[in-house]
Amino acid sequence: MSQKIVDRPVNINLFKIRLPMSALISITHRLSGIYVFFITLPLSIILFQKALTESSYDSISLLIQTSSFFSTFVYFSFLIFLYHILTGFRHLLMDIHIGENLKASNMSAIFVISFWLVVSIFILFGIQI
Amino acid sequence: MIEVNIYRYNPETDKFPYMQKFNFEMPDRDIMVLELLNTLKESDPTISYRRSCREGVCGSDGMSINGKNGLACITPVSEVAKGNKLELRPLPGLPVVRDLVVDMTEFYAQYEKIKPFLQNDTPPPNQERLQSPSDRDKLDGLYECILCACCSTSCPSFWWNPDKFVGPAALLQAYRFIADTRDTRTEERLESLSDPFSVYRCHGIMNCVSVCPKGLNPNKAIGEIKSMLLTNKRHEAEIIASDGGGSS
Amino acid sequence: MSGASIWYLQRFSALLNLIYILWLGSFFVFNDITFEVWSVFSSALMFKTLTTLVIASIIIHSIVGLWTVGTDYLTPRTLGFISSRLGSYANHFRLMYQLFFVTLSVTLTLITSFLIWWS
Repeated sequence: MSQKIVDRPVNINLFKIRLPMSALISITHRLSGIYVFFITLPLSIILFQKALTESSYDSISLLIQTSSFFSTFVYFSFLIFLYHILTGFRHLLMDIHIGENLKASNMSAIFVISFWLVVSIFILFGIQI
Repeated sequence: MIEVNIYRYNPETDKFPYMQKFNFEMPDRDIMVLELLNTLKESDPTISYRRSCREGVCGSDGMSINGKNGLACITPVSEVAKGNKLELRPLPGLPVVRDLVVDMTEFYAQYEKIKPFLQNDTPPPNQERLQSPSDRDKLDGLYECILCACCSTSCPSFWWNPDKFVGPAALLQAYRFIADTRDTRTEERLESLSDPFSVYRCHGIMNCVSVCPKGLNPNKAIGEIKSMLLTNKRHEAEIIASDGGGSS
Repeated sequence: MSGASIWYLQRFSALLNLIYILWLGSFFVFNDITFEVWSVFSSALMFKTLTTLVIASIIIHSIVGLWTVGTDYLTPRTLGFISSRLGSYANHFRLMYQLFFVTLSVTLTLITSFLIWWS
């Protein structure tokens, strides 16, 4: 089998394949999961550790307030986490056969992304306040 | 004038595949992509592709048309060549034999694996095994598959594991036999699909549903198989079939 | 393990994690967070127990997810699309990848448990 693959080319150029909404949601769900495990999770553990004593809590709060890089990084990491949760929830609904036809799945895909964008902007302004 | 870009590869002369441009003058009526290919082949006889029935029932001419899998013989050029550009590539993920012809061996292997034939151990009746109209209805949306491979070759899970993940086409057929009230080996069929790869690599990407030229829904069939694997609920069909009859 | 049990593990851990995040999230949303407020909340036995349980649930969920990703991309076939040399090393890469994320998962669990119960 693998001999055949080595001898013959394969059309696997992803840039040349049209991916509908559901497929894009699926791959971004996977990418967000990877990001959450390798970045958001350790970040959360670090923040938890910093929040154990008053002095470290104050210094990390100061960092968030003063460093736009760090605060953006934290905000972004939790946004990606939210994305994984929302697309994961859509996945769970499809597991119990809700939204299994093509039209419904494309609509739920658009809905989840829009909802995520709206909540992200909402949180951004909420933090400013 | 349509600019047609075709994937070319001749194993005897080419080290790598390449894209070849053709300029195609559209006739005064709309035509199917297959007719466009046939006309181009008149001037360049080396262009290779499979085709047979030219009416969307044999499944030979599945290919990637402007990035989406479909049957060339029932895809009107006007529908796909928006902006007067048409790009034809072989079905994704399968080894290319030549130009638009792919090696379907792995696809057929998965089809064979799910035992696409009726299995009934009860003694055969004098004439045929009876099936009520309502039981026959259960096969609608399943029996019509022409094994064109558009769905499986549009599925990323199938691209990465064509030997382990059975794929939408073969899973649809697996369910076709599970749902058939005349088949008695439902438990065996389900057991052979119970490993982590055969069915469970389906993540609901839904490319299969969006490309099927017969309008079938493999994702739904896979959902039914999953339900049966995950719970002990079996359809009435199976309980009735094991009583030796086919009527409900 | 059967496909069904892995499927259930993934969904069950997902639901548990979701409930926990909703609970924790609503705490952050409906309270003015200061060091004092957080200390009181996070030193409660309820918080410590739930969080420890959820860390285990997160790790199980992550391991299943990361295993799935590895068995899709770090294979002779998929890496073979890029180059046949890469494809021949695929199984080794996958094993190394699996050792890495399992070790990382165990480490993160131990660190978090330590932070929760011993500081």
